Amino acid sequence: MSADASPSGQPLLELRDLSKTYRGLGRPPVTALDGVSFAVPRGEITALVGESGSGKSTAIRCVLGLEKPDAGWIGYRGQRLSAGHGGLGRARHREIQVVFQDPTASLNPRMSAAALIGEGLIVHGLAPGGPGRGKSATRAARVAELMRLVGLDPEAGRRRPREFSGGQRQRIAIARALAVEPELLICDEAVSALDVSVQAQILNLLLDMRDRLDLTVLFVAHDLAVVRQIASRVVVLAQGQVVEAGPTETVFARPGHDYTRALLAAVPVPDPSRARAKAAALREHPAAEPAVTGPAVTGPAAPPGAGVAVPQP
Amino acid sequence: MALLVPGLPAARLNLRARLRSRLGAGSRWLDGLVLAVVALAVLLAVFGPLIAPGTVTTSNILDAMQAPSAHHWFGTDDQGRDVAWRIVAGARESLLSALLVVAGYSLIGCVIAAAAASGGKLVDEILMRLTDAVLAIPTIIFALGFAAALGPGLNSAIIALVITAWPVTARLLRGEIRQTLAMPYVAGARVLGMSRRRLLFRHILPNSLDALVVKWGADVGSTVLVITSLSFIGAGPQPPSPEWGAMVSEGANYITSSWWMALFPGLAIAVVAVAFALLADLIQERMAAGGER
Amino acid sequence: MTVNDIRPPATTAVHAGSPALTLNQVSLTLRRRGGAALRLVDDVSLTLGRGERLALVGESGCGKSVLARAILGLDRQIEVTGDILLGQQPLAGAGERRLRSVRGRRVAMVFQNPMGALNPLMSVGAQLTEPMRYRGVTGRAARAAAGALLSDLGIVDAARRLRSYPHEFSGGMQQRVALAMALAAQPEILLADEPTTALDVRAQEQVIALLDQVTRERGLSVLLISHDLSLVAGFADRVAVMYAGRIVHDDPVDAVFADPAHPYTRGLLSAVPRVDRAPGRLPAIEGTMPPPGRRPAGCAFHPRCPRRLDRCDQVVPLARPAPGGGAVACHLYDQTEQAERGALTPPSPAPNGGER
Repeated sequence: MSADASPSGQPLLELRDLSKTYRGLGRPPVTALDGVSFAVPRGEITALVGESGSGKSTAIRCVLGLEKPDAGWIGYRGQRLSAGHGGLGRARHREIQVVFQDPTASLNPRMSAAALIGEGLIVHGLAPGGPGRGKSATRAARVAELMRLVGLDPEAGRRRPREFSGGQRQRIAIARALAVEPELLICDEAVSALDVSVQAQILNLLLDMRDRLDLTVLFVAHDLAVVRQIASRVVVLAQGQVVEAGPTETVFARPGHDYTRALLAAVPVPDPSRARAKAAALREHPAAEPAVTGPAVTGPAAPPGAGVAVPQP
Repeated sequence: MALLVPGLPAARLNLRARLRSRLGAGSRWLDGLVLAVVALAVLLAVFGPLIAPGTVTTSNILDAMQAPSAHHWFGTDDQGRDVAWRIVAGARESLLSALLVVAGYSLIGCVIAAAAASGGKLVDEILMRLTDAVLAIPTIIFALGFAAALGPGLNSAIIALVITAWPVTARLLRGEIRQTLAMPYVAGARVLGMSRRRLLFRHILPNSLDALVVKWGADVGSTVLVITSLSFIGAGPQPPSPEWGAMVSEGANYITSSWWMALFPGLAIAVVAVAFALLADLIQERMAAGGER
Repeated sequence: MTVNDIRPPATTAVHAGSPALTLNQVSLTLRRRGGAALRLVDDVSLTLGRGERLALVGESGCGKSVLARAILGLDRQIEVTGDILLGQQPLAGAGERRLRSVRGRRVAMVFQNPMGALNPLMSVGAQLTEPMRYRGVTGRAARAAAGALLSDLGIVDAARRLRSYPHEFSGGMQQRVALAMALAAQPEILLADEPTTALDVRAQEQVIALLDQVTRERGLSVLLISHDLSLVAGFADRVAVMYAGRIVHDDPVDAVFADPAHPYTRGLLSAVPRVDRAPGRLPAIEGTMPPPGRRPAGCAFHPRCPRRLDRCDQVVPLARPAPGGGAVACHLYDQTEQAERGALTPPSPAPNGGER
């Protein structure tokens, strides 16, 4: 599929053989990541899918520099991503940003919406002008622009997060991330805590951003229906390993791995007769637990950016 | 009493809420009264000895043991000194020193907490075990020991209290900081790429100090109680100091005849302690409304 | 698999006798310290038949959870007006004693967060045998029953697991234990408040399947509260949709999904992402649901409604018969409105049409 190849042929973000094990005192070590490799092509929305404990959050935290992997390589535009002390290398902060799951806990409750959105501008010296580091007309204008971009009323900039609804808080979080004009936006379950109608709005917003700003999105999710809706590529993670990866349409239509098949089968469909038929079938043949380990469909040797071959059943 | 029973601010007893429900609707004036009393107490603590006449410490046997009257509002004591003016003068010894103590152990506690929260596992472990060790020292007994070593008085009381009280603050603030650090907005701020200084002063500290500020309000009141108690049993400031506890101690000898000698200083202690406890509750309510973590 | 498995159970079951649970013009008001009253739920009427499965669906803040909790009087600071009848027995405003005799014994509840329902300091077996005492079952008989309950719910090695503590189970398992506890006293009615929201998709499927199995076996009446429309499609006989404190739509499940009568239900269904739909933008309803205290006059949905009429911002729509057989609170279905239009105006085509 041509959608796989980016203009330069190189993926924006690439993980190779990433591993991380948590060792606590008096507890057995937990392997969060076990040789995870996948690529995120430029200009597309790639979904990282997994259940809890799959390692998807750990992978994200490693990319963001919030965790240090034990082994492996993370590349951004072909260059090694340096995991600085608790953060990305200075330059990368403008290129990679994040939106988290909990709209309430993602925003400093003591700062106004405008201050939150504008903070990136201050930190990186964007939109300067006006008297010193205090109020800046250019900055205020840019903040208003960003608010309009994400569908917020600039007049509300002075309000604190708690005066906004969950969906609006997520918009603030997105505006805050977009303020520094990143190339890669990582959404860590960004819509999971939102109601259906609000979720649809935010998903549409992300699609807009992809189109208008040429934004690349790595979308971590557990909801396969959401993934189907907005992601062009999907990487399936289970127990710290990549189980399957490829174009969404292909993976969903012809899943190559039992685990993926089990996940897809479990997704509820809003169609009562089909759902009842499915439930009846489940009653007669209860689903067996699919094996995760074993030959992964996409091995670490797959060249980044190329399509992933899905073996025919 | 936060010093003696760590972690039990009067706010938890819901004192203010219960008073207000007893007083019924329109009891907003209670908050105003609390603030007024606190302000008055602090003013007296700072300026007290400057405005009290010199007669506070000098004896005047002729006027001894007079009951409260228009001339001596709270009566006179066995040395003929005006009780009311002595209370004013003693505010410094009782209250200002309480403020100093709270400031002292809070400072130490904050430094230790910040170091533990940011210094990595080993540093955290060492500091917390140190905190545990000091926490085990019984406050009053230690103060008595200090008084025995350095001689009773305000200085030994202040030092002893500061030494034994910082662990509670350290523990509390460390816990709050760790909780704040776990919040996604801190992670997001780090990803945004700001300096550590900005991260600390804009995001971490403002959201970690809530509990501490509430504790300060309650602590001042309970520290006043501790200092006055120390004087009463002979460890803190001693007569002829106008410190309230010392006054109560002296007055206790004459309680059946000249009851005013012990009553009014005792009332002053009680009023100040309760006022600060209610203040703590007021602060807590304001903070809860103004912005949570 | 027979044809009975595909048709909703309601068409084959017999709802004998009086309804299991009746709510009649129930309103819930929260009185706050400052004196201001907040109307959370407004004039809600619902019936739950014996053996019926009713899904109560809505977005956060619509009042569905607080309504379920009000049935058992769990929030004492909420004022209840209207009637809540358990069979013939009134529950609204009942004293704590009467409510306690009902809770667990006749009406059981399962919550969203299983760890909230389970005491972390008690073994699972102890917690399971506790409600059995209501039925006079104690000691060895109770333990045996608890073990049987656990293995019924798919927990292997049940006898040994009785000694385990809640934190030793995974989220899905914890929810099973919570469900077992709810069933231990053999209630007539089960209230399930978002029982699967905190779970992964496979665990969700398993818990719903479990719910299906046990309620079928025991003939329980179930009120399932959820914000997830897809989830209730296979489980419910009937769906009641709540918006801003009111029931706006109450129809058999097939009608709700095939041809939703209420514009909000229709909008909600269109906005649900589907695995079997072409990717791209979702038709989203503009705006947000108003919180309690800021609800507009007339129909609360009117600012967002694509089929808004003139009277929608003045008159609150009452429940009218819906084409599917249930009821819908929307002026589009007013008799006079239909008379004016001269014919029964069919709503716009079903959202299911046209996808791959």
